[in-house]
Amino acid sequence: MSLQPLIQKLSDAEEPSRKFDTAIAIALGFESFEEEGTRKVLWLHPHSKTPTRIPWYTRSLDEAKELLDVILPNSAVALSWTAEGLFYAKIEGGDACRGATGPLAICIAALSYHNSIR
Amino acid sequence: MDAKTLVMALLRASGPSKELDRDIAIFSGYTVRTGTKPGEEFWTSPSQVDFLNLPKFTASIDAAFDLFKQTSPAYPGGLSWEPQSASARLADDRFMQAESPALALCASVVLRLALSQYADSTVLPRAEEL
Repeated sequence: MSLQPLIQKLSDAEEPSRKFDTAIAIALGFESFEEEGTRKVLWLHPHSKTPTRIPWYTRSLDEAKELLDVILPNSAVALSWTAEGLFYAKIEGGDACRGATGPLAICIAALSYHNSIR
Repeated sequence: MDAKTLVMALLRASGPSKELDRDIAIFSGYTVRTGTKPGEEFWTSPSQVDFLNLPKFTASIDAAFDLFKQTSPAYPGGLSWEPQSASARLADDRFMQAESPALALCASVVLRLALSQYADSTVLPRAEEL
């Protein structure tokens, strides 16, 4: 599945959203299941296979960095911002991607790079 | 702690440190008052935002970025990282290289605050000392 529609939505976004976090997690291979008895929805991390919450990819710089650590470990990353509050993120070998916030810019850069090398 | 000592400590740190978080807060004009319970502290940023706990500036990029927003005007800046190394820069200041993006950004904020407070930049580390 192409990540392009999700990348476009993130590029148009003006603020973080839990819906985006969930869409990113699903694109990365997180799977949801309902806990027996409590009917609570839990998520399984694609690598560690342990139940977890979905990270706040689009709200937190630390968790956006985690996204990179999962899909592009050991990559060199740059984030810059202007006095007017525009954010740009770039992964070595990829294009600079603009986002409304730092975490959004990192998510867009990460997914764009991931999309281009698959 | 003076700016030079604090910047050098941040650039040489091998990881997050609660002591450095406290030094940064005090240097940057955060105020603290103790609560009624033992060890309880309330911190207030220079922009008058209250924090229930001391933010983990040196552990979290979010906390370091918030330090920047709480203490400085909207300078342009940048942050980059790769495994085991990171650098940060605000305005036209020197790049600060540290072990993690959070540490590098903290060093940049302290440097910027010091440069805007002191007309005399000799209080800051010289290039060869970094």
